[in-house]
Amino acid sequence: MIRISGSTISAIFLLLVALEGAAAEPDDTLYVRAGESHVTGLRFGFNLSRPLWRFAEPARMGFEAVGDFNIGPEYFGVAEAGFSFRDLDEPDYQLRERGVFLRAGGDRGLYRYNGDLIAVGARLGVAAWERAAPGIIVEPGYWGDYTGSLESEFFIRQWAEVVLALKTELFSNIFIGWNIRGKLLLFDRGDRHMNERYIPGFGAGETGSTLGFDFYIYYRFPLRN
Amino acid sequence: MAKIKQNTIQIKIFVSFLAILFLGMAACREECHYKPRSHAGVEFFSIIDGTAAEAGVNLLELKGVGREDSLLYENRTNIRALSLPMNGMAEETGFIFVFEEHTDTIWFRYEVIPFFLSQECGFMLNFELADVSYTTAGIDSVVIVTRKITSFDDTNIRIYH
Repeated sequence: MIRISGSTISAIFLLLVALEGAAAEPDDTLYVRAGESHVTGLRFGFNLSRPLWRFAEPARMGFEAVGDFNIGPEYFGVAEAGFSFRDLDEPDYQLRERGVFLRAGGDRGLYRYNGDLIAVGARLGVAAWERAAPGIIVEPGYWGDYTGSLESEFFIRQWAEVVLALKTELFSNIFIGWNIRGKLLLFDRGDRHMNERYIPGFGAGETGSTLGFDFYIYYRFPLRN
Repeated sequence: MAKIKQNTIQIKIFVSFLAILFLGMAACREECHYKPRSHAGVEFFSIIDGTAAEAGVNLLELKGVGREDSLLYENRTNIRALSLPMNGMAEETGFIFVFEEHTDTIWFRYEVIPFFLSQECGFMLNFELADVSYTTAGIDSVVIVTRKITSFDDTNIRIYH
């Protein structure tokens, strides 16, 4: 089952508004169809939503770098890599999670207007992370307090994604963009200690599928005009 | 000029999106309204003419071994099912069943599994039942039905009289 939060719905709505804005009043002299002559090069960027998450959820910190490059007039190879931490310090428990992830795949351009691009794509992702809960207290019951811990444990998970991406060229070779991702865990083996897992690069969720939303800033190193 | 105007519109949309996103995120933090507990589910059966059937028992007292000062159940008639709290600080827990005509003790051996509910609620305890031992003053047998002891009100053992 796919989880959709209120923020995600807002994001989808605004994405649709943005798509409409990008398509409005096309200037025939500027319009370039996918496949026609255009600037190519390595586009390198950062996921802005990860550091900004700290304002809403200070316990979680992450970083993600992304890169894409033309492998044909309409096709892009894409690689995305990063790390994430989650440190929860509550009166009755501490939880430490640290992990890295890598996603690789490709995008296909559907619509291009000068430097602006709407694309769909697919990714395969892999994450490795370590988790420990050094101090757990469970409130008194018939037998009194429980005090214990979860020893450090190492996990690896893989997943597949489909992506709808939008990029717009703000200034020469500087882009911003966002994308919506549908993600599906592969070979999910569950977790006996946790339903609502946080998998680096995949996200949080109780099920093996989720929706993600991220926004980015990029710089393109142009190869030719 | 057309390009600059279009970029301006897109920047506004982008900034609006950020504002709404973070308003939504700020409202995401919830409180823990209910923290469940995992108890072992017990059902009572009688064997009459070789056939087992669910049957109520009269239970005068039920208490934990080592906690004889604190009763879990007292003077319950025709009780067909009950739930037992496991001791998270031990690998086995015993319970003394005082029936009308006899007294028996049942021991549960298990693995303790801390389970993270959520950031707000923290951890609870689940258990993986390894085996059960018991005295036979009035109990005929005890059968394990479900080994995972969780908060889902499953029946974990059946006691046959």
